[in-house]
Amino acid sequence: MIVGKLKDVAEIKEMLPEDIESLLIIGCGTCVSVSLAGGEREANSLRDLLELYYSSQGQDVRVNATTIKRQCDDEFIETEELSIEGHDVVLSLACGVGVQHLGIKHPEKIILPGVNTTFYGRNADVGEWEEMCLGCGDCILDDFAGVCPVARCSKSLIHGPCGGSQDGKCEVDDEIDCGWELIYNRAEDTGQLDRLLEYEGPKDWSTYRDGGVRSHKNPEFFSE
Amino acid sequence: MSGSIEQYDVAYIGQALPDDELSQVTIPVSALTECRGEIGDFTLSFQAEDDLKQVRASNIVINLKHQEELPVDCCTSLLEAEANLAEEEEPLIIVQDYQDLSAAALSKEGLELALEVKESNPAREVYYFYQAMRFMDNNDELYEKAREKEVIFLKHDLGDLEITDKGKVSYQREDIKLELTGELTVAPELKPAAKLDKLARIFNITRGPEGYLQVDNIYLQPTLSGKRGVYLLAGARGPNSLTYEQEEIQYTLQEVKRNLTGVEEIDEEERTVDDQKCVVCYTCYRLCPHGAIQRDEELNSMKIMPLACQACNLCISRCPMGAISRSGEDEQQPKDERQVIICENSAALAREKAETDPFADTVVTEVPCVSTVKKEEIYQRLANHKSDLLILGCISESCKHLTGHDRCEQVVNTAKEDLEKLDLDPDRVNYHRLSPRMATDLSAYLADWKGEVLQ
Amino acid sequence: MSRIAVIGGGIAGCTAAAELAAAGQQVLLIEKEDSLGGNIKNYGCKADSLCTRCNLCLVDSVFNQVHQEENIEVLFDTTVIDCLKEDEGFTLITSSGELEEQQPDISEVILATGHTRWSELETGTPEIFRDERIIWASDFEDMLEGRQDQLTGQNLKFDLGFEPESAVFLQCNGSRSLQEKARYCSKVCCGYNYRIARVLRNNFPEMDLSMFFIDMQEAGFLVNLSREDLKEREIDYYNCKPLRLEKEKDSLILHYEDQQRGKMATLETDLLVLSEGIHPGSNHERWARIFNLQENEDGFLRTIWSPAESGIYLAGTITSPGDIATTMAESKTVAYKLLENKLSKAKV
Repeated sequence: MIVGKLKDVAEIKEMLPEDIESLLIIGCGTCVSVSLAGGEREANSLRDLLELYYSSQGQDVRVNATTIKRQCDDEFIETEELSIEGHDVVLSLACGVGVQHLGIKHPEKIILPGVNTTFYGRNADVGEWEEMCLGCGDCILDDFAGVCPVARCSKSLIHGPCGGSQDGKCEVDDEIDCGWELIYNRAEDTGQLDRLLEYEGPKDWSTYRDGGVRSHKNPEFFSE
Repeated sequence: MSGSIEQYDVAYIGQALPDDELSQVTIPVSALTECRGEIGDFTLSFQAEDDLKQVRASNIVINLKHQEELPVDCCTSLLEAEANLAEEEEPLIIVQDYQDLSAAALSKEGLELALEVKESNPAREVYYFYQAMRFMDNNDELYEKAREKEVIFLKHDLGDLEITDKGKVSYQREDIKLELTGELTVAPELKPAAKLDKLARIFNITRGPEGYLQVDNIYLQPTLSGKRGVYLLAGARGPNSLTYEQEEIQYTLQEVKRNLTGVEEIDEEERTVDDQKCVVCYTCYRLCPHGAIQRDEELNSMKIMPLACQACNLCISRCPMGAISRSGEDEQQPKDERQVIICENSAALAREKAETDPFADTVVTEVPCVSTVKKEEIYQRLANHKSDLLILGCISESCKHLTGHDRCEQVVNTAKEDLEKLDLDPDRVNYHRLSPRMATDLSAYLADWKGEVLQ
Repeated sequence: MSRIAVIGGGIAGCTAAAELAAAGQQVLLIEKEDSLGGNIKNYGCKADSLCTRCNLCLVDSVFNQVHQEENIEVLFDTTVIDCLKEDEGFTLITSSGELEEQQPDISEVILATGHTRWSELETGTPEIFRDERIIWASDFEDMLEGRQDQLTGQNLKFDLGFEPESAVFLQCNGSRSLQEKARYCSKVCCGYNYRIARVLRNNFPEMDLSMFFIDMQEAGFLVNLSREDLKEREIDYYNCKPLRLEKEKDSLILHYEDQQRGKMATLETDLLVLSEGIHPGSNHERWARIFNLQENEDGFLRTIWSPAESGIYLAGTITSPGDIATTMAESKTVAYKLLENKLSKAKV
């Protein structure tokens, strides 16, 4: 799932225009709700905090909050159309996708991001997430015992570990597990060590950023 | 759907307890796969001969033996030692405490073993090494008797006693110096039962620091788990559960029987999950200290089980979608110069114990647990009133809702940080802990606090 | 409707009464003093930065429950002086001041009159211990009740007339000694003094703290008192009982046998804290007589007949020393047992 992290409130304050009169905070009820960054709770809390701030500044700013199911689909944001138009500025607590989708739908509105979209990750524990996937567009997990060298090796090395692997930890930060240690161990556990030798690479990066901005279509929905 | 599944009064995970009145089923830990439902009607799934079976049970008792670790090889465990009554020449050596002190139950085992051997074979030497004789039941009588029967008791502190790998015992203290070999029986170190991590997951209860299923918290005494209707005994319960074994069994059986006469909801409020808002993120499930939340498979939404719920409201204040509500929530906020939120289990009791009401002329919001407080409520209160906000939770590890007070402190701390980042005064919100027996402290503190607020 | 009489409004009696009332029974609670609470009425919290699990947090809600429960009638300042066996149940004769009254229609009796502390006994304080620098552990209760360290951040105030820089806790006082009329181990004092020592450590990081044990006991089922734990808190552990006490002008000097080195040694301290064993309550002879009970050789009571038949139940420290947690758990069990017996009797 897409994991997000609520931005520092000081940063949010800085990005809001000084002469703002009304602000609409829009939470998103899918990925960033699950990653506890931009759901209704965060939207409402941020609304109340900013209200407190503006009133302490003697500034009369109307702050409202609403949360919709998904900001990356037209149908969900249509219900908020009037509300969006009725505010100077919109602060979206969705991932970067939602923020931009709102922008596309509301070309003349200032749409600001309230959340940092961090990575595609898994829930490791309550309130804790770990990166698992980079979205490279060409999945090679079958070759690496189900552990991704691109996302889980800090250097995205696909031909084995670097010299900085120490006691299962990464030289970039010893809080990070060495991805290659994980690959090796899991390959050993699942009897797939031989397969590690088979991958000849280089990896085709054209499906990632090297190929430029990406988009794709599901042919089932299109006729020639 | 569950009409055809057999229903029992109690399901034992591990060892069953002897009792004629209760209908019971026993499920081995290794076979258990799932537990759904709540007190009065749990449904347990387990593997039985290649089939997945289900039973229903009103109560669950997890009764598993401790794992034992012997401090040295080539000795018998004191918990398993059978008295060797043959005409034995070599001495019996009992070591009750080798590294650290053993539970009182092991003193009892040791004394009984020593006496049994001495009584059948008075000539045989019995050495008894201990650091502290621990008492329960009739240990004091056994101890006296054993001394009369000339069991040789040798007290030691760390370093006085060495046992080699080959089972040779050396003891040196004051002017006594001994080198012994013989039949060696040593108290094992008791560890949590095996597979408790699996059970914690299946029953959705938190494990304590040493790995037992009971968290360190006074509200769980003696055999309660965080989850209503799930009881913990022996190696599932705690390190010294052997000492209190009989009491704990009695208590548990009586509780089970009482539950069968009917269980009521903890309060009259209704707590509901809006299935349209719920995103099934499992945050409530993971945070609930009472394992009272599960997924409703039909609605694909979380649901709160009303009998299991202990009304701390933590799920409500932490739900990322604001999907959980309670019937009593829309109470008016006090329009008052001083705002205090207190826990009904601590500050509210301290208030009653104080000579004069420390909260006089203060409108107080009493909550079942401070984890009820939402982050947005903190900001709203600060915005709507000029005054500061004081939240009073319980002393660490004495929260009825296990983690409730810590969860509230986390919320308050993040709120304070955010206030500071906006150059607002973080000291306008205060979080403190106190116990019901700290009335003097509370009165004195409030007197100061009011003074400051009024300035 | 018949009632269940609970004699004694301490934590044992109140726990049992509250359970019975919650199950729909009518309860008559008889308390000799003018308020509930018994021994622990004015005990203070013994948390340091963490709860030390003395269980006091749980008792006030039980007392409140007894006050609020409609099914419980409480007679204060009242003692039971006799019990008459009727065809069905009992009539209790109570005395309150000059007034003697009959309490009829009692179906069962739970006797929960607790214990006496060693310090409360007249014979309790040997001459040698008369000194302002020697106090009972329970003398800390007032200081703890008045503590202001948690919220107000002030240090614990010693109510002693001086500020000790060191304290020694002396265990097994009033227990395990024939001279002190208690050959048994009271079991609770190790935990009790350990908790007080922790509060002192938390308030006074520089204070020298030591404990003398004959045999260090477990401190209840949620606390594993260990040498490691004492070491971590810098509370010195002595595995013996001192042999002699010398009172100097500037300090108290304890002479003890350093058994590891096989030599006599001394320890100086500003304050000596005596543990106090749990002794049988003062009315045990009367209870034995009127309720047909037996005193065991230590003076605690046990039933002769099965409570299911006799209708007489015992709860709390009337049967043996116990801490608050054990007392509460056992008193609940007694109440459940009584209800169960009542139910099966009704079925017959």
